[in-house]
Amino acid sequence: MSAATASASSEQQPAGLSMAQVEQVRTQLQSDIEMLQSSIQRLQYAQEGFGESMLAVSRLPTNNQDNSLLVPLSSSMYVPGRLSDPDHVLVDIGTGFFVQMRPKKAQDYFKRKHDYLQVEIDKLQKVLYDKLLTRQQITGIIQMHLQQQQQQQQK
Amino acid sequence: MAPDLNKKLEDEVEKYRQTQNDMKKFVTQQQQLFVTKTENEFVKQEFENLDSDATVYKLVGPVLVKQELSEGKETVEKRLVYCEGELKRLATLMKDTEKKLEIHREVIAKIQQQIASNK
Repeated sequence: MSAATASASSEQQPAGLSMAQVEQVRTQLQSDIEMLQSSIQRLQYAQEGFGESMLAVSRLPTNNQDNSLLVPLSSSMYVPGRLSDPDHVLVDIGTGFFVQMRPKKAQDYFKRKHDYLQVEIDKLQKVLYDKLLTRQQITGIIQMHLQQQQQQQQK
Repeated sequence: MAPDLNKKLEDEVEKYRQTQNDMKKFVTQQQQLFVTKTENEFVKQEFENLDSDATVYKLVGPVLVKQELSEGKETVEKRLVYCEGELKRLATLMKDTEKKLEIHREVIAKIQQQIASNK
């Protein structure tokens, strides 16, 4: 029994690695995959934020209304108010900087960010896909190996 | 002889663990710096797209303070330079720590060999 397992563990894999190394690669792949998935999720969450901002700006009243609105002072109290400057919005561009922009420019800004994030998400998803494929292959190799081991032990 | 060697081994392993922890801290710092750097690069790009008379505000605590676009650009530029400097410093620090880890590994291996040969 021990001789059979000894020869099985030193048997060369198609990739030229020993069983223990294949297992290591699989573990590393697994953690890479999880990290990629969580990164993609976070990017998508940020992208959603930009999408919502785009929507919010597009809903700003542009015609000559009285610009009255309700301002939330707490989660249960609103106070009537008026938009003092419906022609400009303040956009947070990061690191504590805000820029006054016209609604159209603000929408362009959000769209740019949204699209940029989409490009990054696509890049990550491609890498993730490749890793998932590789993991599948490695799992196959491990299973095949376990089967061979079982067969040898049964002899 | 053996108990002394075992103690030496323990000490070396402890040092190795500490150096590894330092390394982890550096990696985290590096990641954070990278994020800050990227964020500031975004802001720099946005500033390039603005007209020179655009109104820029800076968040200082709870207050939004009006700023000149040129001032804002300067601030961001300074931050970027700082980030790059820090990243370079960290890179050298991490290389040295990696060398330390390698030395620890060798010492541990030697002690383990001694212990094995004494048995």
